This record gives sequence, C-alpha cells and structure tokens, in this order.
Amino acid sequence: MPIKFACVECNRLLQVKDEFAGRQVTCPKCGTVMAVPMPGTESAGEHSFGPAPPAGFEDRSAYGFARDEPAHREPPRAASQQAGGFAGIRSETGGYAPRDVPNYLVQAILCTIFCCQPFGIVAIVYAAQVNGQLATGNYRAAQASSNSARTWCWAAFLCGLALMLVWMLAFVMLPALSRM
Amino acid sequence: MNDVEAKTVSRFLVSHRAGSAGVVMASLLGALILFAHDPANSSLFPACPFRALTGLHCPGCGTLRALHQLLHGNLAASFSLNPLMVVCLPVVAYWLVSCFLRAVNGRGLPSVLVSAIWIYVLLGVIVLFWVLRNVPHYPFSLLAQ
Repeated sequence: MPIKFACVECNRLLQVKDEFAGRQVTCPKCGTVMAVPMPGTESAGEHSFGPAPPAGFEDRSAYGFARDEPAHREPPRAASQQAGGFAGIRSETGGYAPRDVPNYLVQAILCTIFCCQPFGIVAIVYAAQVNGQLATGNYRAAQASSNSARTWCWAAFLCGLALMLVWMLAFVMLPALSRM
Repeated sequence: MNDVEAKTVSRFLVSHRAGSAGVVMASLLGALILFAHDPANSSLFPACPFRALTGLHCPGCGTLRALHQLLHGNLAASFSLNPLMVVCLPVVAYWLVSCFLRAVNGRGLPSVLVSAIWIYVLLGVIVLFWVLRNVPHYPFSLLAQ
C-alpha cells in the first residue's frame, strides 16, 4: 500500500512506497521539496481518499502533537469543522508528522560559530520558526521556514568560506608583496 | 481533481547520503588536523576575520583552540577557551552521529522537536555571550581568552 499525498505547493497527487515515509522528495511538477507524510496520514491538499476523516485525526494524535499542544490545536479544528468538514485543516497540515520537516538548527549554529554570524543568526531564527509552526500544526509554513533556514545556512557557509579564502590569500600575498 | 492518477515519485526522493558522508569525512579530517596542531601556536589556522578587522571577539573565537584541548582530554581548558562551543557540542555530536548513520544506511537518528522558545533562548545566549565577552572587565574577561 503506497503512501499517497498531494504536493504542498501545486496539489499534484504523488505516491511513494511506505518505506520512504519521512524522507524528502522533490515534486516532479513544480520542484518543491517536501517531506513524505507518515503512512496512515494519507491526506493532503484538497484530495480526499483513504480512511474516513475522523480516522485521520486519530492517526495524527499517534504522533504526539495532539498531546503536546492541546490548547493550540483546539481552535483550528473547530474552525475547520465550521468551514465545511475536515478538508480545511487537512490542506493546512498536509498530513505531516511533526518530525518530518528539518529545521537545520545544528547547521545554523555551526555557521554562526564558524562562518558568518549575521546570516547564521537569521538561520537560527528560521529554525525556531520551523519548530514553532510544527507545534501549532502549520506544516506548510514550517516547510517554507525550513527552506529559508537551509538557504541562509548555505549563504552563511559560502560567505564564510569566501571571506576565509580572501583572508588567507591576504595572509599569503601581503608579506610577499611587502618583500618586493 | 480526485480522479487524477497519483504519480510515483520514488525517483525524485532527495538523498542526503552523499552530503552526510561528506560531512562525516570532513569532520574526521578536521579532527585529525586539530588533534595534531594546536591553533594557539600554529600558522596553519587563519585568525578570525571579525577579530582581525574589529579587534573584538566573535562568539566563535577560541572554538578551534577549544576543540584541540578537548581532543586532548582537557575539558577545563576547552571550557575556558569557548564555553559556548562546549555547551553546543552534544547537539552537534547528535547531528554528526545522525549524519554517519544516514551515510551508512540511508536513515539518520530521529529529529528531536524542541519548543521554539528554547531556540530563541539559545539565540539570546549566543548574542549575550558575544556582547559580554567583549566587556573588558574582570568577570567578563574570563569569557575571552
């Protein structure tokens, strides 16, 4: 039974084997990188298939965030029921398990220490946003913050690398020039 | 929309195995170089550009010297050179183990979902450490050696 899910960006219906749950996948249509939802949460976007919606809710509580954040989760659930059933919250969460979206915190810390402090700090802020959005169940936003965190980590790393190269070059070149 | 055929995307899985292997190799290589050479008296390592340009300490200053001391088992010396690095080290170690496992069998350690508050606390600690270690008076000067 493959995992079926919709692309968080373009809603294209995608499927992969169960064993790839939690891995990152690129949408072949729009190129967005996202996490493959866990089996049993086979729902995303406007599509509806698999078990009846209430079963989907039971499945998600198995991943612990209903238990962790009861206060945050109650209002959106009530709102989505008023707005016509479960489709609203499903498209918002995309059926993700909370641990699927990487926050790149370690990379951000390493960049802050070794490479480029300003960009590294931006990456840490995005990492914090990922965790905050995961806690409230806003997976689409968490994925966007995750992508931003990755971008800023790379920016910090490359900036630090470039600075270091210029620096080492100056170290080698300046004494050589002063001898001439 | 519901009758659209689901597209199999196994070919489009993002593999982090090569990157993870690269991270592990680079870390091992770095550890070997750091074990053999003390950055405190070796010209192999460049000085911190931030320190050279401004004369101030950055939050990372002393990390390489601290790692050298740590590799030689001197935890106290390591802590005095850069306490922030020693505090962050368990997190980095968890990530490195995860990278190693991912390089070996394609699946790393499960990620730990901490509250966003703690990440902001860490950010505050980093900035506070950056400011305090540049205060040129007694208790704070201990942070910049």
